[in-house]
Amino acid sequence: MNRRELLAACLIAACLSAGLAGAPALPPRAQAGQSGALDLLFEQGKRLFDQFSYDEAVKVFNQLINTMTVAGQTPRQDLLVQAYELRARSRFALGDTAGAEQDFAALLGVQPDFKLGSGISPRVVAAFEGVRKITVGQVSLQVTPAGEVMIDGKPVQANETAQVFDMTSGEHTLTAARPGHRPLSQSFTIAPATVTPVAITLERVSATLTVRSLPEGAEVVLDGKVVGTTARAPANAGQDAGGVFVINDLAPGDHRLLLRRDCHVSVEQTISAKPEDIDTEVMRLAPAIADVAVRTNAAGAAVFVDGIAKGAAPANLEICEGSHLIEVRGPKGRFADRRAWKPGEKVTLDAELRSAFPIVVVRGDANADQLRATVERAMAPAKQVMLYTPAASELQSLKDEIVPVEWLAPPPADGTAATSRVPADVTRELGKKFAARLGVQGVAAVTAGSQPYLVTISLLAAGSADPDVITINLSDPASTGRAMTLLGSSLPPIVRPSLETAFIDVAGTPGAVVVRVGGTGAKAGLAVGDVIVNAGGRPIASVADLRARIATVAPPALDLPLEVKSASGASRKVSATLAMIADTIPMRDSAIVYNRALLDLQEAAGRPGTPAATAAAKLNLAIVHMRLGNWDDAQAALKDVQLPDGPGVSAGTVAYLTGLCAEATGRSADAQAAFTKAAASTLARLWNDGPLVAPLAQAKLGKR
Amino acid sequence: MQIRWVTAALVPVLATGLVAQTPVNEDVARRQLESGRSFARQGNYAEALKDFRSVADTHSSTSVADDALLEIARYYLDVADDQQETAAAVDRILTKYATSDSAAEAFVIAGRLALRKGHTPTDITAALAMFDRVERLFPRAEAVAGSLSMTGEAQWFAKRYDVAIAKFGRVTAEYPSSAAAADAYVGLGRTLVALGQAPLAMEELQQARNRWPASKAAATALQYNTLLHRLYVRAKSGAPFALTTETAGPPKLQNVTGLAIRGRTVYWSTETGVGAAVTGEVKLPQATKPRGLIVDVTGDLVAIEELALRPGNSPSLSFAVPGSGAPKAFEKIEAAVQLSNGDWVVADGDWRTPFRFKGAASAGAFGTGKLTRLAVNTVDEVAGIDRDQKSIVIFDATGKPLAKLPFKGTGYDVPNPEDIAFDAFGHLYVLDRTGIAVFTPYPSSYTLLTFYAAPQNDATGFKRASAFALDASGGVYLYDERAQRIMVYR
Repeated sequence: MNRRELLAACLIAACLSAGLAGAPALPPRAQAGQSGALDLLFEQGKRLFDQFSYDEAVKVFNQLINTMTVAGQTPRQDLLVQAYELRARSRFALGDTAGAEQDFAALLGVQPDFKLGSGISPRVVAAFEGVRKITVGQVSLQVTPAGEVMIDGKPVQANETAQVFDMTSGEHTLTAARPGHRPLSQSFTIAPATVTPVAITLERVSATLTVRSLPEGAEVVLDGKVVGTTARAPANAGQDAGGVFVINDLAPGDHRLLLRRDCHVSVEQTISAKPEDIDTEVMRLAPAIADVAVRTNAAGAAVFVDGIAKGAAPANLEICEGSHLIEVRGPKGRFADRRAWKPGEKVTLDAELRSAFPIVVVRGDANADQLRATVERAMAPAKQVMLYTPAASELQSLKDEIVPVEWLAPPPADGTAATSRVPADVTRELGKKFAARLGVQGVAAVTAGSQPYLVTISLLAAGSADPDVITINLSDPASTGRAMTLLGSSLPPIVRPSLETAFIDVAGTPGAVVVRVGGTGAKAGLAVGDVIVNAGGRPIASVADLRARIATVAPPALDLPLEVKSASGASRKVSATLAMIADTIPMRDSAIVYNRALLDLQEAAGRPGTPAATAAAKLNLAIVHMRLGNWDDAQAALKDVQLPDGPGVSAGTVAYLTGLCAEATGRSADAQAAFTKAAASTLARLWNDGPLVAPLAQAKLGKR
Repeated sequence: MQIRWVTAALVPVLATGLVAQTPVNEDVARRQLESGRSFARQGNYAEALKDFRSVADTHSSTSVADDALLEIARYYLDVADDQQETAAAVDRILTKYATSDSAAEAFVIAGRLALRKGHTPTDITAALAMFDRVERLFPRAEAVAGSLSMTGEAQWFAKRYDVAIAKFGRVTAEYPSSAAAADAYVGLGRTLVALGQAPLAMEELQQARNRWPASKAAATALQYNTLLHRLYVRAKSGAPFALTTETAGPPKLQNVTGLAIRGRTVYWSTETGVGAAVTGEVKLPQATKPRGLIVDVTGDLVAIEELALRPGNSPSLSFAVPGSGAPKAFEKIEAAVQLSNGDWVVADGDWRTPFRFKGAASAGAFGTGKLTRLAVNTVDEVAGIDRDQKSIVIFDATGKPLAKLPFKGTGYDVPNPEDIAFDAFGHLYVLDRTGIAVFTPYPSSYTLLTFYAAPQNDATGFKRASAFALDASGGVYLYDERAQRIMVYR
């Protein structure tokens, strides 16, 4: 070894020492580095051996073997064996026969079945074989049934057929284990140059159950307890191999085995276990699918299943067995169907979209999820409004929003605590923001009442500053029924046919008695005191009959033939052409959900229509805005409304409403002027079946 | 204004379950309350009352105990007309359940109770105070609508028609779906008549029929419109009255001295006693020579005899006024009416002035004149026939003269007035032997509204009428001595 090679060997050895001497195991990269260093050192020794530099080679192999046999380290057996061989041969060449024999003995201790290669000196071979004869014997090992067998902690292959292999002489310990069998540990002694038979039998004590499923991934439930999931069987197990799961140490006796998997029909069978291996037939889990067709007339609607988009409506869906929420979401509302689907069901869902109000706020001493679910369930049949529990992801999207504590809180019944109310513009903007974020028409809050069965629902449409508040007694079906009726009721007609004439009932006088004539009634020649006894071929016994008959008339066929009795008793026939007149909803009516009406009227006001229909839509939109605290919006809507003077909903109505807007926005002079105009409209009404405007305007002017 | 803000709309919630925790006691009480209401709807008030009392007494800590007390109060006010029991139930609500929804309604009932006691300024003030509390203390309660409507009613009694119409208007505008709105339309109709706007009043009344066709208000509106149509529409183009084919009483009836209508049944007094078209509805007064027949404020029939008033359901009432020596008893009672507070105004032939009595105790002279027939309207104005002065005189509730209508005036002539009556609106009907004159006090003073001269040349007219009574729709039931029967004119 020249100086250079020696230096290199020392460096490698130093490196190895630093890596191996410490007790803690090296990390993988360090181990890889160490392995490379061992190889380098071995190559160094081998090169010296090949160059016949046996002294130098022995030094290097000493270094290598010392390093590899440090206590606690796992040597690289192959390298160690080669190192021992080459050091032995180097020592033999140097005349150190005893040293060589020691190395051969150490080599066989590591690998008892080692054989020297060809081309080696017969003297060396003889020395090796001499050592072998005194250190190596054979064992004939038989294990019934085959199991996991280890000798001196090292795994060996063993089964029912005797296997013969070399072992160093001396005491050895055999352990054997197999699922369902009692573990076994046994010592035996190997004598040099002899074959020692070792035969053991493992005792069966419990069953081992191999569960096979198709498809794989089935959850395995044994006696009601989930024990695992079948894993994909090896590729060579065949096309229908599916998944496998092994249950060891299954106690003898009957067991219930259930396999279940999402979207599949569960299968179950009873296993009668004995202390033996049990292999189930492949348990096939049939797909559990319902076929659902979703139909809707709503344009631009999309279908969602459990919150996951499934494309545009209409759609045909395959729905897994179990409870699922199918939704149709559109710009005007939503449809939701939450039910437990059964395999094989074929259902068509006709999705009528309702204005969607997710419950985003829950207040009070109650479980929030339970309260949401209870309210959703109770209000599910409501036709116009959909109150629902938003998906967790939807709620999550609102998590970071900051809202006033009192937002959407029901007002106190006694009107107190007014100072803590949330300003209208804050309420409006939050409602808009939340609705836009969730892609819905409004939001809802639910407040548990002082009694566990009292619940208050607040509904806020996007753009509204004041929620509708509905209190429900959940223990009283009549109460929930009333709430449902309220939420399900449509907006009353805002344009209706009319004779523009006033009628009354008079006892003893069958028919509708004229007390004021106007508009189309006057054109038809009606006079005060006339009695209408027939309209459109139907007898008229009362005003109710006449109203009902008139209500059936619709454009374009607005003619209505009438039979009239005059005050003198003379009968005559006239033909009236009904007018389509605007009507309005009351500004405060507990039978109307104004936040819902806002959505309808916004749509109606933007739709092209007849002048009367457009005026009616805008007038009603203004009223709803006023009711919801949107005074500026109301004023804007009213500006476009032009109605003639006269009875019923007319210019006086518009004037009164304009006065209210001006009053609410602090424009007292405008209010005064508008109320003065309204007070002069003696026959104008707030709505056609409603109160006269003039007394209300006079009260505003302080005249009453 | 301070606003507290909180992160996230998802207010944390804890604690116990919902709905399923309705206490058993609560359920039982609620069911028993509904049972009582069901009995009440069927008219079985005895059983209804048992249920209501059980809820109020046995389940007094439940959420419906106050509702039960409210039902009890309503029963005693509207059905049994027992003011004492009504007050007791109202007191219990206002004491024990002062913050409940029922307290608001209890104030309305307390106000109605005050009006039931009478229509004096004191009564009206007391009633208004109760109604006013509802909106002030419970601004969001459903009872506000009822209190506003009743405020309008009280103001109508006080003749503050502008205030009344504003209150009724608020109900119809702000509580359009409430039951009170139906009553408010009826109130509006009545008030508009008082303001001289009868045609518009008819439209308002019809609103109650259009929107609440099955309600009591709708039935009242029909009666009122029938009446108004007759006086304000029919009378303009023809005769306001026409003989009907209806029969009331026996085919032949002699010496009738007075007629009265209670509900739909006609009662009459003759020189031999009191009779009824339908018997059994009310206890008839035991009178020997009744000179007239009236219905008192409790709905009891009262026969007028020379010496006393003889109610059907209570002891006879005789009257005396202080004289120079011992009190002088009335011995020739001609007529009597009862005011809303229970006071009697009695006219005696021996005196040149009627007297007012609280029970049997004299409260002094009431108005002036030797009056032969008396009538009272809903605001306690009393009209009488003064033959000496050949006029019909009208006094206010204190006896102060309001108007004097001569037997003959522009458009009418009632030389032989036999009887007088007020309708529900306060129109004064004067029955002459051959005609009927109707006067209206609106808008400011009594003027002729219409005069009906009965045809004398055919069987549709009456020739010698001597007594009459009005039904709720202004239909006239009159006794004609010539025809010797009760004739019905509508």
